[in-house]
Amino acid sequence: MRSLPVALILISLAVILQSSVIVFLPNVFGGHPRPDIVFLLVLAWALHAPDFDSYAWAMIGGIWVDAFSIMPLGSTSLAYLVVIILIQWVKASLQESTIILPLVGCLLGTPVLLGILWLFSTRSGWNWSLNDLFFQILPFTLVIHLLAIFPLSWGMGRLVRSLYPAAIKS
Amino acid sequence: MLDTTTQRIRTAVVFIALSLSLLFLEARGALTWLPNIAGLAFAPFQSWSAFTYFALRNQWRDTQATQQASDSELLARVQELEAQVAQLTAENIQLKEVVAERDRLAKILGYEQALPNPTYAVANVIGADPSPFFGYILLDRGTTDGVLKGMPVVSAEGLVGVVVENYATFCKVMLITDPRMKVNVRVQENRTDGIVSGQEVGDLRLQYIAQTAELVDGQTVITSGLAGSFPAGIPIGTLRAIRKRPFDVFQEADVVPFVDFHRLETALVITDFETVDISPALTPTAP
Repeated sequence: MRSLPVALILISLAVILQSSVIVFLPNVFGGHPRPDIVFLLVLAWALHAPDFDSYAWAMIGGIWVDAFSIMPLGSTSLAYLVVIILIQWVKASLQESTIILPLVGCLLGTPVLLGILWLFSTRSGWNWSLNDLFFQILPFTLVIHLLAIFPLSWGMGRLVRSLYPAAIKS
Repeated sequence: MLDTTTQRIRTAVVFIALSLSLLFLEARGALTWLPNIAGLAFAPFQSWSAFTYFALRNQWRDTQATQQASDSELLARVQELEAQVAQLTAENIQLKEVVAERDRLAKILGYEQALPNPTYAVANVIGADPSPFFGYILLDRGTTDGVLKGMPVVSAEGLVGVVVENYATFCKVMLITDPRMKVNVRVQENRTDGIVSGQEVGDLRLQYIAQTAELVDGQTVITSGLAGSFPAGIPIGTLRAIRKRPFDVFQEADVVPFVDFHRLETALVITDFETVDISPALTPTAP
């Protein structure tokens, strides 16, 4: 897995930013919605990279996020992994595209991610209703994620091509 | 083709199994070392990036405020603040007199006043829970600084929350606005007891107030010390939007917290407060 050192550096940076800067940014939508840049990084990587690498990125990202969250350790990893498995399935079904794939990945991945995290949070005793999830958190998180995924996907595509030049067919 | 698909499924299953194993080990408490390592590796960087962000944000706000306020407005504001300082100084003197009188009377009555003199650990806010579902903050103080689970966290304005997880170099603090948080409180003006609980949207709600109690907008809510989780007398917020309906058993109201959790940069952990576990007293025993 050639991308492991890159994964460790990029994900660590993303986790530091997520937990110490992104969480304090003024929220234009009010309330809780905020982008999950670790998820976006993992997703953008999975849109271009081989399966094994993508799962490893999801695993590392999830563990680092959970270390600073009140969520049980492993829950975010599981959520990221489920999304990445879905993305690999979508990738196999769709043609390589710089627009459609990130769009579908984000539209599919964000609700699945938040749904799984919501399940874990309610199982741990928090009373978030489905109404809160669908009308307060999901729409705005989705908008932010859609805005961020395209540049990230472009950047990750370049990174994957530089790490695995032989595997990419034009 | 089939081989590739089988291999893909196998890889996915292995990673899912790994993830489930983590959850299993976490439930058994076997993974506390992992956040410790993450804290050792990341906390200094989190501290630096949070500090830089706060500094930039404050600088930007100051610039905005200066641009918006004209000289005459600033002058008026200075005069207003000076008047406020004078008024607070006078009140402070009066309060000192009251305390002195109380001590004198206590001495006359022969009581030993065991005045609480809490010890604090000053901590910087270095982050918050990355998940959108929870109201938690991360402080740069851990077990090496004497910070333990259950210790109350306050700021200059009032109650912030309680330490729920502690590691070597950092701790996680549940804010009073978290939906799982319940604090026994008292309305300072009329000594009515109730419970303040956090709401999903990040607000505070005062509940279980008797219908006979006289609640007024703007009254101050402080901790009551009941249940032994927090010291008594820590300010929480002021009452707003009181709801007294004849068909309800209790009144309820919104509470505007004194602490601005979005601007919180420094907090104090009360390190010498011992929580009292009252759960055995609440468990019914056989006659």
